[in-house]
Amino acid sequence: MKALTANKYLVIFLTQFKNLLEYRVNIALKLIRPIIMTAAVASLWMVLFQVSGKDTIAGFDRSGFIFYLLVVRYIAIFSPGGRLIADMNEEICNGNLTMRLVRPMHYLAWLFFRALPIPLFCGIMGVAMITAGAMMFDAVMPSGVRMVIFIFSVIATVITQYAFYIGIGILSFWVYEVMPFDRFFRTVNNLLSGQLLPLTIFDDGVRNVLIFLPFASLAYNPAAIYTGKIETTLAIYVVLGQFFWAIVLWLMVIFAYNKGLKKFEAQGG
Amino acid sequence: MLMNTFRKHIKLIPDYVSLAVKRESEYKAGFYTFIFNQAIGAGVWLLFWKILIGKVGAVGHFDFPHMVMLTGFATINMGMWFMFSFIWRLPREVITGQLNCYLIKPVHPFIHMIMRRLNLRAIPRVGIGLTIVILSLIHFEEISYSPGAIIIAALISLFSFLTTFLPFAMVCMSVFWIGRAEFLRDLFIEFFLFQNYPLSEFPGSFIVFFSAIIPLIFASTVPVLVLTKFTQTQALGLLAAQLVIITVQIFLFRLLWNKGLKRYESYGG
Repeated sequence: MKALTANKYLVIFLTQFKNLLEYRVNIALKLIRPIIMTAAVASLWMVLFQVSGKDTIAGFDRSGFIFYLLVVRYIAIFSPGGRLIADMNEEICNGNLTMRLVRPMHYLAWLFFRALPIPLFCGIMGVAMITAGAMMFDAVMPSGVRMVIFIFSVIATVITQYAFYIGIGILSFWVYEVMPFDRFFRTVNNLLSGQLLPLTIFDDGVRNVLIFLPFASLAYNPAAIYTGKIETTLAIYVVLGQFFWAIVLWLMVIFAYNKGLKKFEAQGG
Repeated sequence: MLMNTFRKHIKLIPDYVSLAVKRESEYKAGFYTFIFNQAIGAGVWLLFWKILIGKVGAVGHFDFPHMVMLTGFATINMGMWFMFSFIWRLPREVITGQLNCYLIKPVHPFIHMIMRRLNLRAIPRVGIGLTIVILSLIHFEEISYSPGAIIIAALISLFSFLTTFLPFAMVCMSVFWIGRAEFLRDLFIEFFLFQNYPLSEFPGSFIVFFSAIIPLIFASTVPVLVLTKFTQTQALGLLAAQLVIITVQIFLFRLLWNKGLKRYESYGG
């Protein structure tokens, strides 16, 4: 029975995976986009290095900084994006969720496995590209142990990202328009996750708090583990912290979903 | 003939605005969340510059007061752009053949497209940006400016809406030739991020790109420089350059629109 349950989600996952072939140009651009954007942002940072006369900023030297920005950009590819929220919003508010509920599948699991393949493929390709790039340019590569920790960190990142996005989508049970919440999340996430600035730029006290918040799990933690800014022992605790937040957030999502379902009516939430 | 058409479209504006007001009054929660999010967005950028400049010092000519002003101008530009942002749907409307609905109406299809979903929520964003600029002019004593410079900066900021909107509209129009233009459109949207950076401090090639190809430099960097660095003659020269760029853009825009429409077929472009 359990095997059958697992099978149907695998089928959804694989079906979506086949769609990759339909969006070849989009996927190619998704993979190239971080390089373009990093090149542009990095040029500003190079100016900052030049005018400040400093060799390191926030613990990163010039090449380390560019590498950090690139890793952060590629980790962001794993995100399902606002499309997932928009689809949930439409289904819940239009009452189309009913069609999903009558199927022998859990709606949240269906959402997860349907949205996962393309970001997952692009993310893995992205990380492979930066690793290959790092090897080509003799950049500092993570050791075997660190690589394993990094992979676990990315898994926690993906689970946390989906919890955030699906959580925002679930707000549709109570609020007709949820996209402003998506934008709010992105804005806060930009600063607190280390996408705009590595968290090492903050003072020790603030940084130690931020590292263990769920936002850091979305960019800084995996990037810092990859680039060696978090030592191996601490990295293990950081990843455990990431999984802790992933579980807490998913429990909150499931709780909110069950509450929302009670409120849901066939003609809309 | 041309004047009549112009007058007819001007007369339609109150109706479009009235429709937009009615729509917004239906979604109050979304409206207020959107405004709150815009304020938070500007706040995050101010915090970003405060932290960064506190750690590494000024970015060339741009110290913290300049960055505050830069954030204000960027917020104004994004506010104006958001008001007419429905153009981002053009690729989808063309692919699905829904452009027909616009073509059969006795109004210019492009104008109808952007006005029918006028985004009034963006007006407070313009207000937030304006407040930031005014407060920075009053609060920071190190910024000296002349009344003439204020007028020129205001004009450049106002016209910068066109210098950013027109290239975006042209990118959306590429759907008539390449079909799925969403990836180009999304890449272009990512470039808007650079309005928040002092583009004059970037390397020369980037300055040329952001002045002539995607003229984001006029959105925030140039108005700040007009107020704090340039002489009135230099400022007028920049205003003239911006007007030349807008003229070229309008010419290209009309050309692409007319050519694109000829390629459009009722079942999609």
